[in-house]
Amino acid sequence: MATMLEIRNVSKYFGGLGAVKEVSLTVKKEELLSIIGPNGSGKTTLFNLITGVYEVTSGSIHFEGEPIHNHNSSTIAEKGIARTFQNIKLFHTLSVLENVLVASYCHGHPKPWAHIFGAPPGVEREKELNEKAHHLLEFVGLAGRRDEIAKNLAYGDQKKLEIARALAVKPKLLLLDEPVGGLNPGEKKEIIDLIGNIQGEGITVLLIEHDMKVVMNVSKRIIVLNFGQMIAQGAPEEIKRNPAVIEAYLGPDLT
Amino acid sequence: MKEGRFQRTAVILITAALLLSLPALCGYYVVHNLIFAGINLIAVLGLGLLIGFSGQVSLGHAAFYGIGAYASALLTLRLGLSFWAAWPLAGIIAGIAGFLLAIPSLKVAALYLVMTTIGFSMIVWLIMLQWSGLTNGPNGIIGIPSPTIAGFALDSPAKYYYLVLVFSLAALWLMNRIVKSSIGLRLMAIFDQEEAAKSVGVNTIYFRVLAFVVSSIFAGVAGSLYAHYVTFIHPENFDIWISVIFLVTAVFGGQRSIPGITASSIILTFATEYFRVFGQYRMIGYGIFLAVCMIYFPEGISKLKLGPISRIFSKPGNNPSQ
Repeated sequence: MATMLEIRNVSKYFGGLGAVKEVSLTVKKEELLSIIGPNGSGKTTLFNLITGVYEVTSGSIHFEGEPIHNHNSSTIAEKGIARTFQNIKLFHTLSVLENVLVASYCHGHPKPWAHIFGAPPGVEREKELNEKAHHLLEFVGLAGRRDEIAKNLAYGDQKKLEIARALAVKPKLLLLDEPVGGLNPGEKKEIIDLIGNIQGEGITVLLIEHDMKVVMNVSKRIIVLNFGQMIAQGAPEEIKRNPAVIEAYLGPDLT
Repeated sequence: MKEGRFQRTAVILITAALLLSLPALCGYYVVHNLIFAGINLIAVLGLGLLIGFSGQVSLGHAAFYGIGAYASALLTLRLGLSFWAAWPLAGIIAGIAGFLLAIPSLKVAALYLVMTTIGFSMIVWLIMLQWSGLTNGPNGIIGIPSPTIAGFALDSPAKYYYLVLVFSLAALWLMNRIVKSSIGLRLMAIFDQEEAAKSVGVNTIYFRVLAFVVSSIFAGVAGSLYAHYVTFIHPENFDIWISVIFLVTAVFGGQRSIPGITASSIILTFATEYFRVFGQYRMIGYGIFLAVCMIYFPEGISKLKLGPISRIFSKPGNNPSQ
C-alpha cells in the first residue's frame, strides 16, 4: 500500500519540556492506524503538529510526498487532512447545517463578490453545497437536527457533528481525537459503525482513543506513545503482550 | 402563508411611502437629523460587521470616516472631480487605510486592538490638524460642493435626504448580502472557534483583514456623504468622540443585527440632538440613557421582544436575531 503520511524524527519542545521526541511513523493509504498512550504522552500534540497548529522543533512531516510541517492549518486542510477535537470545538452559535457548510467552502468556493452580488453560478453552487452538507448530516445521523443551534445538541450528537464537519473538508486523511470519549455504550457503537463507514469511503483514519476495547476492535495496527516517545508499534495482539506497553500503563512493579 | 406575504408587501409599501414623503411631512430640523441618522447608519453597519462578525473592536472608526470626508472634499475641490467620482474613491482610500491598519492589528486582540485603533485614530487626527498644506489644518475645508444630478444641485436637506436614503438602503442591502453569504458564515465561525475554523480550511487572516477593509470602506463612504452635506469639515468633526458614538450605536443595536443597528442609528442620532436642550448637561442625559439601556438590554435592542412587528419582518423558520 502507498504511504499517505510520513512523520520523520519529529520533535516538539515547549521550552525545556519535550512533548514529542524523535517520533517516526508512516500511515498507509486506506488503513486505520491507532495511537494510544497514557495521559500526557504526546498524542494530541502529534495531531497538532500534523495539522499545523504547532510548528515542529525538528524533523519533517510529509503528506502524499509533500512536506507539510509548519504550513498553515487552513492550507493543510485544503490539501486533504481534517480532524476532530478531543474537547469539542464546534461553531456553537451556528446551526448544525451551517457548521458543515463552513467546512465545505474549503474547496473551490466562488469569489466573495460573486457570492454577494448573487451571480447565478454562485447560487447554483450554494444549492449543491447545501445538499452535500445535508447528505453528510444523513451520513452521521444528524439530518433531523440540521436547523438546531450547535451548542444545544446533546454531547454525543456534538461528537457526530465534529465528524461531519471534518468530512465536509473531503479529507484523504481524517484525524479523530478520542471520538468515543465520554459516550455511553449505545453511542459508542454508533461512532464505531460510523468510523467503519468512513473507511468504506476510502478515507484513511488516524485515531487517538483511550477506550482499549474500541482500539483493539477497529485497528489493524497500533502505535504506543509514552512521555513523547514511541515505545511500540504492531498489531493489537502484539501490543497487548508488549512488556513496555504494560509497564507504561500499569507501572513497573506489576511486570 | 399567503396572508403573511400580503402583510409583508403592505408593510414594505407603507414604509416606502413614508420614507419618500418624510421631507414633505417633517420640518427642516427632523430631515436634517434623518440625514445624519442615515450617514451614521452606513458607518455603523460597517462597524457592526467588524465587531459582531469578526470580533475585532475598533475605537478608531472616526479616522476612516474622516479620511473618507477629507478625501472626498479634496478630490472635488483640488482635482475638480464630481461627487460621483469622489465618493467611490473616498471609500477606496479609506479601505486602503483600513488594510494598512488591519495588517499590524492581526498581532493584537481585545483591549490591545482597541488601543491600537485609538492610536491610529489619533495619528489621523493629528495629520488633519497639522498637515496644513493638504488639509488646511485647524481651519478646516470650506466650500465643499453639493452633489449634482444632471445639473440639479442637492443643496438643501430635503434634496440631500433622498441621496442619503438611496445610499443607506444600498448599504443595508449590501451588508445583508455580506452577512448572509459564505463570508458572514465564515466570519462567525472564526468568532466562535478560531482553531476549528482553521482546521476546516478557513483562512482566518484573509477574513479578518477583509472585514476590516469592508468596514473602513463603509465608514469612508459615510464620511464622503457627511462632507458634501455639511460642506465644511474640520478635524474636530473626526475626533475620538465620533468613534465612541459609532461604537455605542453598534453595541446598542446588537452588533450582528441589521434591523437593530438601523433602529439604534436612528434612535441615538435623534437622542444626541434632542438632548441639546439640556445644554451643558446633555452628555449626562445621554450617558444615563445609555446606562439604563445597557442594564436592561445588555445584548442591544435587537433582543427586544417586539411581538407582532418582529414577526412581520421575519420569514418563517428564520430567527430574526441571528
